[in-house]
Amino acid sequence: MSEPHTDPASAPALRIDGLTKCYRLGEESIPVLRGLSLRVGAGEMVAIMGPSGSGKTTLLNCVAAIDTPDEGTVEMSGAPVEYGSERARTLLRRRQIGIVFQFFNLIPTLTVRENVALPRRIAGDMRADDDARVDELLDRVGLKNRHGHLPHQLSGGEMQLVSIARALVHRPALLLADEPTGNVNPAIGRSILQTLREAVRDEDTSVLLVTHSPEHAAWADRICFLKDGVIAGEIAPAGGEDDVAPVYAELQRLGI
Amino acid sequence: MAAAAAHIPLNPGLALRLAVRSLLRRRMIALATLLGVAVGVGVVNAVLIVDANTAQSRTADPELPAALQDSSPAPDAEAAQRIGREAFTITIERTRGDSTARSIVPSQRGKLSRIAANDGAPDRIGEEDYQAMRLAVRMASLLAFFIGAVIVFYTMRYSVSTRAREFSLLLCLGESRRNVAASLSAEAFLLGVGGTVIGLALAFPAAYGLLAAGVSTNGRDPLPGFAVPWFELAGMGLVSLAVVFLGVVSPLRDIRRLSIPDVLHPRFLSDGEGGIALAQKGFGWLVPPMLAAAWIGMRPFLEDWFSVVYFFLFEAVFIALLAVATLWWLSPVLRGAIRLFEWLFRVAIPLEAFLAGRRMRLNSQRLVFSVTGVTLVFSLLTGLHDVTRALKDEIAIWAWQAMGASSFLEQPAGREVDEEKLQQVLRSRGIFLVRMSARTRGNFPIRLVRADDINPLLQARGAPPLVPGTALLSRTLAARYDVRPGDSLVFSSSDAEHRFRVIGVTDSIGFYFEKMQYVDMKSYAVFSDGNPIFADNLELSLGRYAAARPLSAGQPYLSRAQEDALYPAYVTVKRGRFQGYWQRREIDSDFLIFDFILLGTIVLAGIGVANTMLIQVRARDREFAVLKSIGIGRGQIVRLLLIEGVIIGCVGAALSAILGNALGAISVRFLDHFTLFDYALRLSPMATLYVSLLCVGTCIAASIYPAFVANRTSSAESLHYE
Repeated sequence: MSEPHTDPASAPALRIDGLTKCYRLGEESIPVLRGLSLRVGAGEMVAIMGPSGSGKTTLLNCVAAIDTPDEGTVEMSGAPVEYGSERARTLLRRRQIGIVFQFFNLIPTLTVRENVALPRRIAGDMRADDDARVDELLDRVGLKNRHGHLPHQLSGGEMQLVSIARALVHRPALLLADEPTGNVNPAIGRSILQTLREAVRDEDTSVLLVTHSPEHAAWADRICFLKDGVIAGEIAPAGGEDDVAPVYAELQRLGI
Repeated sequence: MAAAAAHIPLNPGLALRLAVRSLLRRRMIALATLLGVAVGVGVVNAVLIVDANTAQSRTADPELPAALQDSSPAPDAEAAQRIGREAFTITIERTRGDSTARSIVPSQRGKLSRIAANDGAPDRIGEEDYQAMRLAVRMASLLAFFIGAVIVFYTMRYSVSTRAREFSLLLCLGESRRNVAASLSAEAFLLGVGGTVIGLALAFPAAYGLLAAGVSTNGRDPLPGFAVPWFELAGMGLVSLAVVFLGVVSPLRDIRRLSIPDVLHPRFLSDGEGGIALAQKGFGWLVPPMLAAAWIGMRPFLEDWFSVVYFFLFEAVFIALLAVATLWWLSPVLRGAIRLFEWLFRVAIPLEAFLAGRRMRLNSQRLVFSVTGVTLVFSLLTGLHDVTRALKDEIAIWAWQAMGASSFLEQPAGREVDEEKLQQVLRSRGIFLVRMSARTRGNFPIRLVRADDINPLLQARGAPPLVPGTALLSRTLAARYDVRPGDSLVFSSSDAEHRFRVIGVTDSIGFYFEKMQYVDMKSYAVFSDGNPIFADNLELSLGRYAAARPLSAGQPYLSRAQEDALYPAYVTVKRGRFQGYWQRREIDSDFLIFDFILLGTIVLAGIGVANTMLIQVRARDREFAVLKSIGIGRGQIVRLLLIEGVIIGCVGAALSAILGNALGAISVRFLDHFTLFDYALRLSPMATLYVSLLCVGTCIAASIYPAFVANRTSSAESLHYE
């Protein structure tokens, strides 16, 4: 366990040191993360790219504390994540983290508005449905007129936009997005990335984005390439979202 | 293409292997279904075995002197009855208008008060009271089985519907629809056979234990030995197998129609809930009122066509089905109830109440099965409580009114009574004494009384005196055989015929305590001394038994001093006011069989609710994982499921309070109308409250295990994989 930072303001939003995670398959232990280290600054958007099975989702699960690493430390805004405490893990997810899944994972029995407001309700605000923040986010993702619909009445892309609004509603310090554009068309994909960038710009939210798409990764401030359970390379696209060539070059260099 | 597919041969080995793997993978759900079948079959089979080992007639009474023990055939046989050394055939000569008919077949026509009132209006023919109790026991156990069947049916159906994706994948891999269906049938077969065998194995020790504890299906003594009704048990086994297969009929049909692209459509694009019903459409809601209207229209005809017991059975089953149909079609009512409970819980645990309530309202159509199972179980409990309470009240009231004032006396052996001195004591102490003989057994339990004792009483009431050639009948015996004043009892032997005119139907002579069913104690015919037919037997014991009560209406029962004053002629052997307690205890033991059925039914309800919730929890892995990922704690997940259990329990409790008391009211009315007893429905708010609490408690207990399962599920796996 590394020493916790005493000044949260100057600490990175996320700091990972020597993260190791193995899965057991019968007698065999399969290492997925092998001492991975990573920093994500406050208000920074970092993309993670890597081949299938390289541990991208495992990394996000460990950061979100829905999975427990075997070794290593994870700090959020300078405070170490207490994996041993169920209560601490729950509060971390409730207050500091927002998650966007590849498969949306909306609650099927709640309307769009109720899904978005749910993290606020969980935090104790039972009148969250009427919250201006919910309206603001629904407006931002362009679904204000669909607020009374149930998830199955939406398209896949719309569901993902609701999922992003839900992940942002409680103003998390860190938003984890696991292939958020994996199941949507290019236009919706751009809309999603636009929303994430706005969150970084306007709310100082840090974003850790897992993606297979170089075009989408190029929206990030920094791209980390995950291979064999460690960060094997890192680039910062200078040209922003249209600067895709260096991403392809790095992928080719690393053999991903 | 279809013809080619039809020729794909079955692969039973693979079907069986898939079935076993599926059961092992969902072993808790499989185990719960297995137990559901086992408990349902076990309860019914135990009742069948107990019934096969229950005496159908009264056994010898150890309290009676051996010389007076009846050696006549069973009371239901229309045959001779031994009185003393000679056997007589007793017939009733009924005079109704101009016609006279002879019969000895018990008719038990109508209500006791109508017979006593002698209004002449013939009622519907009834059944023997013990036969009615046996039918009631069988009906209750079948109802328990029916509830088990509903639970198993629903479990199979729902369990299979959650696996549509798995079946589609098998079809994609080249498996034939027939073989997928065969795999499902194999699952049902394994669960059905396993559950039936376990149920049968459980039934034997349960029945043995019940019989050893003296429990029977009609309140009479169990027979020695241990008979097994193999034919009925085998029939029950087949029925249970059929029920399990019924549960897979609909899924098998669905497999034939399964649209693979639709099912394998990404889950996030489907409704995720298999068709959430937001609103009832069409005119389905008209079904319950139309059924009710049809029933009201048909009821008078059915009442004439069926015997009373089968009519009652039919009506009870119809009402239960109508209740289920009402729940099914009127799920808005259920949603309203859920909304109410949600609102109540919101004060203490708002988030959990909101999530649970919202989900349950949207799934109310599916929830109907769980609520129905719970409602049926606890309605049965409430209804049976109403009936047993009415019966116990009737006994308690009768015991107090008819026997409370009396002291029951016996003459010490070998002691002669100084008649003059006795009469002096009776006058000076204000005691009314009726001296009796021993009582015969058989169709017509007979007692002699001293005419000198009761004729002053009869005369004071303006009734004709009891003299040789006349008889008085208790109201119960008269009602059982439809005897009225003016009818005659004819005792025929091989060489003589004795005729007795019935001069009255009355209980005013009083009863004598005996260790027997109270209905038997209430059934007797009274003859006076001086009839030659009884000279060689009953007159020998006349005066040996006596019932004494105060002459003064203001005195509730004889004082100790009054009883002591009768010594040495008589000693007190029992006081009437204590007889009520004994009768109550007896009736408690008669109803132990119902307690056994109810226990089994409650276990079934627990298994059913737990299983339903477990299946739903399994189907909701992803939902719980999402909730955890956005900050819901384990405690909140547990509370969420507990609230669902509480809501199912509360809605079930509220509905079963209404339905159960309605069933109770029907049953009590039936018993009141068609048996010899005077039953009145007396609702007990406390009992209803206890049953409601038991209902909620069962549902909470049943939701605990699924709650732990929900917390054990890996969020990481549930969220990542489609």
